Amino acid sequence: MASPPRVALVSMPFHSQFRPSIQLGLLKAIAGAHGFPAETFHLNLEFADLIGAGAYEAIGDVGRSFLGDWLFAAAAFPGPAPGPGAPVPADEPFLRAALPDVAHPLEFLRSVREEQVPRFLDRLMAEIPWGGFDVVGFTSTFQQNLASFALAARIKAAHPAVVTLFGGANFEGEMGVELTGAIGCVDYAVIGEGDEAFPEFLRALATGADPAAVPGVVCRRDGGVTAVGHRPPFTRLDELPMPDYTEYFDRAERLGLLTRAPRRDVAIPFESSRGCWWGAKHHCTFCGLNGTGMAFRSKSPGRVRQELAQAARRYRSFRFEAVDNILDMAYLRTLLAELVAAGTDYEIFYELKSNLTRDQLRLLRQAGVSRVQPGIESLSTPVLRLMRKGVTGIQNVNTLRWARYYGIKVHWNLLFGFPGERAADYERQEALLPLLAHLSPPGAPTRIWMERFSPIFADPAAFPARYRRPHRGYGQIYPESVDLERIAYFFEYEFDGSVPEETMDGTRRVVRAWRDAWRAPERPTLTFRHAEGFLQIEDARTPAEAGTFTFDGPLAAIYLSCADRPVTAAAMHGRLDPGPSRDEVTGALAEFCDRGLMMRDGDQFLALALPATAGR
Amino acid sequence: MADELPVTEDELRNLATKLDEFARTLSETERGVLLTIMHRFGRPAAEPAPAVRAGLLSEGFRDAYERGRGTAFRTVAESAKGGSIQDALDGPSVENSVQHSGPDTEPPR
Repeated sequence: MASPPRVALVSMPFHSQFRPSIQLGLLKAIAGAHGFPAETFHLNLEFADLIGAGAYEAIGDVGRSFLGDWLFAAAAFPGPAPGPGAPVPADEPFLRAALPDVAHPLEFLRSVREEQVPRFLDRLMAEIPWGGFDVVGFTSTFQQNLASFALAARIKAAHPAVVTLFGGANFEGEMGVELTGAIGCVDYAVIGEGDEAFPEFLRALATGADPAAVPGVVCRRDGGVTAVGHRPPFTRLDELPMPDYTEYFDRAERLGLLTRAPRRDVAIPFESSRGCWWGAKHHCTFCGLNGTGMAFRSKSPGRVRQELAQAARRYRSFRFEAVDNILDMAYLRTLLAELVAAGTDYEIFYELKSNLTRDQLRLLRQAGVSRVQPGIESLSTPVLRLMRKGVTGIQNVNTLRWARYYGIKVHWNLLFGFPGERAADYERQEALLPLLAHLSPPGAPTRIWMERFSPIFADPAAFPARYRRPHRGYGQIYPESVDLERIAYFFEYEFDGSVPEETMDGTRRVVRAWRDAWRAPERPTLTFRHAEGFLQIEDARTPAEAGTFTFDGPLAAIYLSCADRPVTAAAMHGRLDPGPSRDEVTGALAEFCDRGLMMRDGDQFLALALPATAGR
Repeated sequence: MADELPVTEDELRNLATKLDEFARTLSETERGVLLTIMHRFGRPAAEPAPAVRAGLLSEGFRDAYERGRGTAFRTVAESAKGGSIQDALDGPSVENSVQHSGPDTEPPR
């Protein structure tokens, strides 16, 4: 190939329509920086426009149902995949919940699969001159495989000289090797991070070298798949170019999905780190997110600030979403403190570790972090210990408290299904939940999924299962020639020593009521007001039955002493000295707990009310 | 059996008062001994809970609670009401939705 290869980078359904693909944006910029101009195609937006934005996003949200992949299965594998009339891989009650705005979900999904998907693919083939490209790259995460295969197969059929290249989380490790070997339209795949492999692949094509010799790149050859050359995770994150999202915004506005305006309220993805510093030390037992790239690396604070400012100016939005798996704790001293000092007006989403202090949460909010996913998977310390979370239930509650106080929205879960768990752990947790009605509610309780790369998958000796098999959804979308054991990310399994579903029935009811209470015009509250010598706690966790407690002297002091963070009775007694005896303090703590104004976890106590005066 | 007897709030309150009075007559060490005895025999081994109540401080709990909450003249009641900390409820609502819940459900505003 004498001239630089012409490159198209494609994002197919069901990547969320509400944010650009950072994979596409970054790879375009990397290719450009190496002298290979690339064009991006957020074709997922075209499909969202075709079938309706609400239905599109709902299908993308229920990733483990495989609905999105199923819609494209017949188009991707016209011969061997389950054909017309194949059963929808979900029952009707689930579909009604997943697609609440669709009147007849079953009929809708059938018509999408049999009519709209073929029409969509035909239109893409007619409107985009694929033959003008030398390389078409597909990024694939969760439900993007089958739509990508469907389009790639058509491109290869129409333009056999075009080289297809796949990458993304769906091609991590063994999954990528098997997909490359089994799926005919996959010419090459990048296994792992592509920051260096992708431009080296393009250079190999341009110079006539063997692209499969590039470490991290594989292809079918001699009846098998070439070996994956070792390439360690990329560490020089500051050297990466800024992602280019221009085409995403142009397309969204052209389709009318986004209104043209001087300022956009769209979450712009940015990356300040890769890997997980906690997982590198203590891998949470259920988490498979980082694959083979667990080693933690982060950008310099100056570089992140520069990236945020440039993106805000260029894309006219102040909303950002970090794609990081965990916040670099050093950023509390550097990046976030610098954003506070600079007085920026960003609204940022971050995933982080949940054992945060009041001061840290205040700083986060002042720096513009308005939404977090702190990995609060349980409020039971024994269960958190089983999942190696490195945090206690009382610490999680305290994070929820101060996040609420400082106005940080928290996304969190209640997980169960860990080997060695006890029903009593969940019963205690269930008894605690109604006391937290003034804090942001969780999602519905969910049994842990077994994901490839997680310890419960990778270490069967430590987590013996009665059985383990690829999720049944894979069998409904892939032909028999594909080894599902090797391409699956989600697995069905059964552990000995985990609680049955019905153990969580009560918790489900409590959580449902909690979420309903938060949808009411008047939300539950539990606040305290302090004056010299006394304390008032206003309990409106059930607004219709509100009440007020007034405590004087030592009782007020005891309550306040565990209002910032969990404290032991011994530490509290020491702090109150001279004051009530140790027994009196212990007794008073029990009384506060009995009234639901405090919680206890082991030997630690925590006041549940929040200061009535905001923003301190 | 004692644990099958119906117990009223008044009876509990009277007993608590007597125990408080009794506690005042004990030394710190004696209270510790009593605590230990109650700890060993007074409750199921697996259920951690303090064995004594607030002792002298229990008075402070007796009349601490009043039904109702802060009030104001009607014209200012709306702004004086508790619960001023604002937040947004979104995120996954479909059961069995996401293990790694995140911002994936929020549309642009």
